[in-house]
Amino acid sequence: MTMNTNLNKTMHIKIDHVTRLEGHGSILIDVEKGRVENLKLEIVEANRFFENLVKGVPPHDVPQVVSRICGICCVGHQLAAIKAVENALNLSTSPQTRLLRVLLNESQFLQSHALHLYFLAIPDYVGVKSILPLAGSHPELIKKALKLKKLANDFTTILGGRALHPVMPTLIGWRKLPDKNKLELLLERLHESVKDIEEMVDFISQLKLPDYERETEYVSLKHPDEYALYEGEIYSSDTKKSVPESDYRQVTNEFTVAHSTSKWSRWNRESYMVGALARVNNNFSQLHPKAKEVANELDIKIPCYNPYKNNLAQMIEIVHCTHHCIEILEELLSQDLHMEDLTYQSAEGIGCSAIEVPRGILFHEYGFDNNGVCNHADAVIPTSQNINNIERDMQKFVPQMLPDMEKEALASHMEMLLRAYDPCISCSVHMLDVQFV
Amino acid sequence: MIPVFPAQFICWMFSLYKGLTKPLITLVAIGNRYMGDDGIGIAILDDIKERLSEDIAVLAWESKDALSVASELLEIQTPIVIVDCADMGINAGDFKWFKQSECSLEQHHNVISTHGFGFSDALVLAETLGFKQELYFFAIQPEQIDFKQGLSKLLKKNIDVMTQSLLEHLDKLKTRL
Repeated sequence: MTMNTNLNKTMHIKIDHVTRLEGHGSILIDVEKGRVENLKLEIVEANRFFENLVKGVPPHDVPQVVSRICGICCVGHQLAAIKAVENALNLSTSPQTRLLRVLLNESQFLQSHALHLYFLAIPDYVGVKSILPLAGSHPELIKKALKLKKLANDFTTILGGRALHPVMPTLIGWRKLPDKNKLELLLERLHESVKDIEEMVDFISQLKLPDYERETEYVSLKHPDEYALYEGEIYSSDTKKSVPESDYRQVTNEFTVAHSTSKWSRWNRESYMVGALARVNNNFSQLHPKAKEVANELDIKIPCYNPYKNNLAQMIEIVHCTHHCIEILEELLSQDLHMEDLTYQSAEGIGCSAIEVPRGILFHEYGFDNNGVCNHADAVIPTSQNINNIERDMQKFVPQMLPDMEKEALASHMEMLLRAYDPCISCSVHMLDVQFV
Repeated sequence: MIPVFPAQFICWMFSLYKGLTKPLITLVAIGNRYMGDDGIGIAILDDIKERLSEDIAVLAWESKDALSVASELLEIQTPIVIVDCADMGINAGDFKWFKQSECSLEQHHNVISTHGFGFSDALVLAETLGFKQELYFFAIQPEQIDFKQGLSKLLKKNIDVMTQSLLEHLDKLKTRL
């Protein structure tokens, strides 16, 4: 009989800056004689104080300013802010505006998921350090991923005026409507992309993901009529119930820990997960039929408790958004687009909103004084909701895998785990509320 | 009788002619005008685009991410001239014209954050995927790169000299092609 000496192993892992993600985070693991003494996911980015930047700003400028929180999820921040400001000022929108916003939001899903999945996450699963060796071994696949990302960027540009920090969407409607001819060309390109995406799915289905599970609370928006991305109530897989978006603070329950400049969140248990996997788990039945087929092909069983499979859920959402956008574009093109009256009356009030962005639910809240000027702002970002859950995944993973994994493999799996969540650490560290004396 | 054409028709004919002209060179300006001297490429392009002949295609890649740059490089079918600021270890405001083979670009493709992906990484990715066009750089040593709208006084003062030099290099390159 042989004894597993690894059970007595001692190791110290410190990954100072995890690569291939948005922002800077470090992983610290101390194992003494087979026992995990210390495990931390340190967030070391400085706070950015965006909530204070919008104080004193008029309502229609707020979405444009907060779009700058992130270059990847700028559309999400902008739409979340537009919806929250509209709620604060009691403004309503037309079905046309809703359709355009749904499209714009989903263009960002295509862009962000393509970027994360193919250029940041997949190198992990094929055992290479970056996109370059993968581009060398699978040039056609990477060309298809680049093509999809370009299509998504052009999609955002056609709807929003530019790919980064769009300028066309505003309160109530659109500053300038998208050109119908360009929308028709976009529809053609989306149809053409379906075949490329099928080939991308084939590749993903062959990847071997780590066999690891930890059941947690999955939180996402839920809408009675659709796979909730643009709007809905906040749903928990624990309670199987939803609460309105205005109760978001009861959901996020933000708190601080010493080793993170990002706040942490918890709801019905010690931590929860948001993002593609949470959405697919909670709203699987509302996915587009083609996306459900892909879920079968990728062998995702619902509910899925493997956080690495967040990457497969991203692929499922690429398929969902592509087909959903085709349907919405066809609907939009069957009618005449009309400019709407964008004048509004500024007023005192407070309003919040929730929207799904690629990394999970994003909450924004704004208040305006009786001069119609912003005097309160709050934003809770998906990554700050996920950080607590990621660290708990790591805490379970390390002792479970310790007997069979050497230090390098363990460190690499920890990086992969963090990357699988598609964290946007830069975004997560800007929500500190500063009171000046 | 002399036929008289409306101005709109003449403009349309001219744009059609420009559209049909196959470019010999693609001039690409890279930069961010909200980052001080990082906007020099865009500023030079703004300055000369009306003076360029129709066989030079012009692209402005302002604040474009590296993957989009790689994607667009793959679509270009002519020699490319990149106009950008670059740290070449020379005096601020000085500029250089050089071929890709004459320089080595620092790469960061396994970077800490995607914010660190730059042009050099986009280029390597495009080359890995089959990009083979001749590449020239017109590079300007910046004085100050910071969150600031507009160029430094030094670069602003020298912009006419830079644009003149760039036009001469483009003419020479066209002759050679």
